[in-house]
Amino acid sequence: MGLKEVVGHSESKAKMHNDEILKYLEGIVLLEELKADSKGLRAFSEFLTVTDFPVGSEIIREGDVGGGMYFLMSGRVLVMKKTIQGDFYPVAKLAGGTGIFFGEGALFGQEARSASVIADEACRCLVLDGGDFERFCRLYPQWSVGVILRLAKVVATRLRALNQDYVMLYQALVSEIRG
Amino acid sequence: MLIIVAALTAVWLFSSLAAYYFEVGDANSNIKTVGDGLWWGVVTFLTVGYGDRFPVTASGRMVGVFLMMSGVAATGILTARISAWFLEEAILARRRNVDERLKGHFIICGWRDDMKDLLEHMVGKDTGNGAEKVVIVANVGRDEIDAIREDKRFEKINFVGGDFFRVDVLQQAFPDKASRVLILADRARSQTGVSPSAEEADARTIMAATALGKLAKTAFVTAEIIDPNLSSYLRMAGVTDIIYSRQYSRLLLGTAASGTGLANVLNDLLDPKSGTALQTLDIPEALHNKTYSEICKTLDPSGRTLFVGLIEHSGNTHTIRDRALREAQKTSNVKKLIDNLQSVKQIRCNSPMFNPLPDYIVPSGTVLITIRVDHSVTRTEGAA
Repeated sequence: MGLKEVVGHSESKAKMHNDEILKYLEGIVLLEELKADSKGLRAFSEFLTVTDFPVGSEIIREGDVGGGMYFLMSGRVLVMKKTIQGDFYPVAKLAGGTGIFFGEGALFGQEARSASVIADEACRCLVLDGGDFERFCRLYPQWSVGVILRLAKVVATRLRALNQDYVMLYQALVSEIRG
Repeated sequence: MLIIVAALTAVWLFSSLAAYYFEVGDANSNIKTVGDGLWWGVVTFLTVGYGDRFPVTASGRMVGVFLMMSGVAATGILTARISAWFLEEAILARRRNVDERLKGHFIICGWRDDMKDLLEHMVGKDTGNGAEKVVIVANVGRDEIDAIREDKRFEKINFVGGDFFRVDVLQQAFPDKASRVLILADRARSQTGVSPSAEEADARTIMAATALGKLAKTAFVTAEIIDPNLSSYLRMAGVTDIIYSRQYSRLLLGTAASGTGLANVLNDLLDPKSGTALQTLDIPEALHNKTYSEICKTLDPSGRTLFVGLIEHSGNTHTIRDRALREAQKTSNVKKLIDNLQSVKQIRCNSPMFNPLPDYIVPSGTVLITIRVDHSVTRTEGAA
């Protein structure tokens, strides 16, 4: 399986050298364990798709199910969420090139996306499909264990923060009802 | 209606052709063609009777008698039908008080003996309220309203007769689509000749305000109350714009103690004819969340306008809370979300703030209070 090259919504041809992608992947902490073996990163990169997004396009839509995880190589994205009434508000602005990734939740199950991601500038992403990730893990368990552990840490950190939020909301609700 | 027309046409056709049939053979006859017969039929049936054509045979005359009699009957029925239709329209037009298509209107609940003078302040080009956008809900006779409608300016005023504090009466004024409501402290003599006490009037105002809290969620409600101690009930009902008419006159009298002519100042500020008026000014969106001094300087670079202060959270309570609630949720930080939501609870609508510090950040949903001075009015007075 060679490196797939996909042109997203834009017309610009994504002519990327494998070396360039490998160099970018080296900077990602998540893939630290893959670097130990020179073949590790190369094997991993074969499961990735290069996709370009023009300014203003929606990379992930809140509420959509499934999809993949995105490594932001270049450009800038805006993470947006919706209130119950349907008003959008910005959560974060992420600039590429620094090992930024998002949408990792899609690797572990078919759950609805928790936020929208919109291209604030023209973006180039490496997309890892949920199914492809599973295939990678089964093919190369010796490398994938490290990646999965690191991803588990990311998810666990988020879960802890969510737990704190939950406690805070719970207290607020109780004190509100007490009056 | 269609059946009647068909029957009449049948009678006319049948009679005309019968007359032609009997007449055409007679030597003295003047109905010689089918056309002659039809023409004679119409002229006879409609009881016109020109006499240019007439039957001469006995059978033809018999047909003529039949046609004349049915003609008289038919004309009577038709006349009755048409006049009944006109009458029905007229009755409906009189009964139809408020056009159901009305929206963004101004509802005045209650009655005052000086209603017409009051309307002069509120209806007209200056205030942007056309008379057709005003609905009066009051328990007064139709003649009182007709007296007001005699004035050309108030011709199109809408009226709902009945007690304004009753939900079924209020609903006839379409409060859900109104933009403003004024509840008067109604102490006018009712149709039975009893004028309510101050307590009764206030109780009615509070009842109406409570009902309108549910019925007129988007309207800005102003209420007049006689006893200031009862104003907390109005606040509970969501009314934030309260007029304490009795207290005002007492306070005004109180200024006499200072002996400085303050009464004149207050009068000029309130009387629209004086050329000086307290008014509110909307802040353009570009200036939201800017400092007070920056807003004043941008709106009036010459510095001639007299800025008195501002009213935060100005407008309808429901709308303000709704907007604040939506704004409050726009964060992913739960701690901040809770703080925001709690601050929504604390919002006090329509509370004025006088002369804020120049670096005060003015939040959105605020209006400025200014004193408009019409220099042309004061100057002409000075010249005279």
